[in-house]
Amino acid sequence: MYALKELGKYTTLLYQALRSSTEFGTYRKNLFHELVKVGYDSVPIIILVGIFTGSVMTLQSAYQLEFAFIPLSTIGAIVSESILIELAAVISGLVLAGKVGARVATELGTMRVSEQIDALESMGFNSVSFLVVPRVLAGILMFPVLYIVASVFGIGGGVAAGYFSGSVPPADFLKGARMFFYPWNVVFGFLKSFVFGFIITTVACYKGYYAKGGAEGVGRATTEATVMGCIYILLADFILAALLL
Amino acid sequence: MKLSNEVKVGITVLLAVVVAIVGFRFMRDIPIFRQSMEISATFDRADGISNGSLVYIQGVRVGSVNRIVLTPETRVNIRMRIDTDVPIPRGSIARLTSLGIVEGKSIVIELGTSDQFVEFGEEIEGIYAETMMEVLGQRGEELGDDVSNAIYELNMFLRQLNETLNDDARITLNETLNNVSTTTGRVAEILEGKQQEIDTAIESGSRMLSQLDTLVTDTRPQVEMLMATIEKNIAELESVRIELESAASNFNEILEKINRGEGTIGLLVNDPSMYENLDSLTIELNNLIKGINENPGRYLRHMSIIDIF
Repeated sequence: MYALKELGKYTTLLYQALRSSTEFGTYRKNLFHELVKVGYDSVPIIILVGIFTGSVMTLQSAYQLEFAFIPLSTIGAIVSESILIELAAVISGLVLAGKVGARVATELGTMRVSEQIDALESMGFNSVSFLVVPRVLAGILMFPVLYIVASVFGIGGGVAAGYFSGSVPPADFLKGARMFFYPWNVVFGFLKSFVFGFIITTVACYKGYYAKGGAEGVGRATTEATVMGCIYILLADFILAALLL
Repeated sequence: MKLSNEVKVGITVLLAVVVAIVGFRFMRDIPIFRQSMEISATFDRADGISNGSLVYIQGVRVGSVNRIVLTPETRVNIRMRIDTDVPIPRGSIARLTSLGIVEGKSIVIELGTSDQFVEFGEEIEGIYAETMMEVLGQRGEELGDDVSNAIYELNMFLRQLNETLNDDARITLNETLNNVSTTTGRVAEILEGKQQEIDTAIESGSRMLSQLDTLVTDTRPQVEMLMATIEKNIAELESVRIELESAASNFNEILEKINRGEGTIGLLVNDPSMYENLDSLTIELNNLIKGINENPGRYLRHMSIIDIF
């Protein structure tokens, strides 16, 4: 019963956000602020995540396939395809669930418990349009961008790791990466990042927007936003893979 | 300069889009900044080829497979994107093959010799080359029994070998190996020690051989002359032999005649009368001499000493 109530509240909030998404003037300034916070400010951490994902994948694939009777280019294929189809979207999604989700939930939760949202409402502002819509839009728009960053730096990190460790020459790596490159995988990863952006921001907004109980409530909202964001990301990843592959 | 939020967002999105497009073209093996060439070829089948499979000319990667379509004649039309400055002559052949046992399939273009070159979108001849693994796969069933038999026999052999090689035998074998190794070591030592002598021996041997060679070359005319003389002599001997033969036969004839009692000697040899005459003559002479001895006056009566002396 509790879960159904939560789902209903969540859907209602989404509906309100969707309906008020036409009020562009209300959230225009906030939108760009959020785009910078979600996208621009997240680029360094995503670059870091990408490089490490790719290089670790390469080193470990090379280690595991060391004695197998396979060409080195297979390592490039494995790493680049894994990154494009799964890791770039999911790992950056998990990282951003912490970074973006926690921030959004804390901001909205604090505004809720300090009655700033009520103040906005009483001044005649549409609080959903003003607070929720720009954050969700920023997530939807910026996550695919971050996916590109993660992919590029992931594959770059893989090439670099293969080169510096001497296990896979860059030419072999790229040969394998190109040979098994399917555009659909990129589209799929793109779609994933889009969905993850939506999930992280909406869950965080929901948890923050309906936070109650002072500082403790804000803390709970933040924790839940992060944890539930991660869980829903993994769930959505599974559902997308089952449906689309 | 403090960037406004809009500018920051714009920069991020623009860079991401550019990187995405460049990266996508890079991964699809499309030249990033220019149009590339496209040709196609039709094969009987296209096992192991997929979009992105590589295309080679003389072992150099020049492009990749772009599209694979099954034609109404149930052949496979493969379109390739070629990115090279080298023009491809008409009459070139695209061979669908595998570069190694474990490598995937790829297309190798064997350049023709025509003066005319393939234009954009043109089709060249395609040949599907069966790889070793495929041939093996087809033969696999036939080979299967043989292989399993061979393995069974190998197994038996190994088991027997194992039984034969009990611990004692193993120890002996080990000792033998050790001995062999020691011996080899000693031989090596000896060889090392005698290296110089061996070298000298080989050197002098080779010098001797060369001297012998010169000698043979120098004396050759003389030897030849000698041989010729000998040959001549032999020929003369032959003629002597013939003469001797005829002489012998003549002699034979004479002997035969003698045997038959022809001629003087024949009669001499074969007729006993002469012997008898001689014999009786001898007897009578004996008698005469006896008579003279007994009574010389009888014979000397009419002879005076003066007459005699």
